Amino acid sequence: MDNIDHFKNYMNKIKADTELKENTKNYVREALSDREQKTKRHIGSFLIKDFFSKKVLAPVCSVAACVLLSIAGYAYYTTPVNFVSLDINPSVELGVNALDKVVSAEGINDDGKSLVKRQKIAHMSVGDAINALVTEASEQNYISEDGSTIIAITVESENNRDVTNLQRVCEKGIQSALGSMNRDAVIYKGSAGLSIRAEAEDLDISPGKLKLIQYLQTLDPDVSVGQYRDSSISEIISEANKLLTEDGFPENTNGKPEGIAGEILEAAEQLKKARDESSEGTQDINHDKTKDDGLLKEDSDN
Amino acid sequence: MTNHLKENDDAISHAIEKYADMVRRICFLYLKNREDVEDVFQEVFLKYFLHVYQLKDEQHQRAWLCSVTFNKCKNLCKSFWRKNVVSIEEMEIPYESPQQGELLKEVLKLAPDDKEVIYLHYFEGWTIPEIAEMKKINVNTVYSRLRYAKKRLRQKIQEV
Repeated sequence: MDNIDHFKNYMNKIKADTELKENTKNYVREALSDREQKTKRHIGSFLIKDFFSKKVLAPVCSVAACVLLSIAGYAYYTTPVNFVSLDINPSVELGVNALDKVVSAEGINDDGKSLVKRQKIAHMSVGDAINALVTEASEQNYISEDGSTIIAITVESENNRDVTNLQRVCEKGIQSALGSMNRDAVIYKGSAGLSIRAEAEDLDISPGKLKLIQYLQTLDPDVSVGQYRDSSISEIISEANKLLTEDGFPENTNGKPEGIAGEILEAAEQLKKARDESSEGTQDINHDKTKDDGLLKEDSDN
Repeated sequence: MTNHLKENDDAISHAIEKYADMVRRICFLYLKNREDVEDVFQEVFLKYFLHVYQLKDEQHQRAWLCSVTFNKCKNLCKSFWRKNVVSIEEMEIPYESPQQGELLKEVLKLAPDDKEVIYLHYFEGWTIPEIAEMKKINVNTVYSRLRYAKKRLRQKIQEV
């Protein structure tokens, strides 16, 4: 074990105890309320007393306290802390707050913009929002009946726990939508750091799709973002699978592909199965095509 | 109105639960007694809720909280009162090995700014440019501090 591991292992053991957290919460609540009291004293010293009777002043200050607390809480509620890209071929990016509610929704391409327009998903839980979008996408025939569509969920976050949680919640939303529409699809789960968003915005592409194209570029340096900007996730993953199987893929000691390579190979395998079954004339594919773990360990440095 | 206040209360609770461990780790690097740690927690989180509307996403929130916590801890370390009257309390967590113990003791002895860079780079995983941007200092300054801190640690301890 090297020194960095020693350092990290020890620091990971350091936690804030419950008493400390509870004392802090109580302090913050009281301090915000105290500010209201100072406001009251300020008003009292500069205004003519009989202009404001107690009957007016007390409720006004109560409202001021509520407003002050509300401003802090409102700001916290409306600030997205994580983002989720949904890519089928419509591409949508959702801003998710600390309570896992959708506080922003942006269509990245024209199809995505149309999808977002048709569904009012603001303030929904992220799972319900994903459910609504996938249902709409299915109704708009973006999800093929033979189960050969890949639906990609990319969680953009710096927190591994949030990544796992949001991937799980979004996958459930997708499965629920597919179930109600009697459709099947391959679900691809990925993750990226928040820093990818700025680059994606410059290139006018969803962060989830950009992440996959960047991986494609590591396999073939001649690939450009422009080539695959308008491609579906299925097409990008198929191409990556082709390059991986031509060149061999990275393996860990258990002989299984790891990281994003493993994710892509598994998704491609499921896609191939769906296509084979479809070509054999199977019309109703009712079994689930889900993956267990989409956490991309190697992407923590994004 | 009651539901709205409850939601804000939940928001305060949620944010503190989310970031408390990070703030506590930074306090560990600088502070030795419970009172100072409580002091930092209260000031940092109250400031956070008054400024959170300016912080556009989680990355910025974490960066802001880190920065404010480090500054508060370093200011406390400089205070005359604290240098002379602070009581050293047992706040240590047992070390897994003598090597780990030696390393942590040497890290804690580093200068305040050097400790900050070591923590942000090796534990939080920030890159040098990110640290430079957060602290509004030159990238080369960050490189120098990191190099110096690593050299000092290497002189004091040996790799396992």
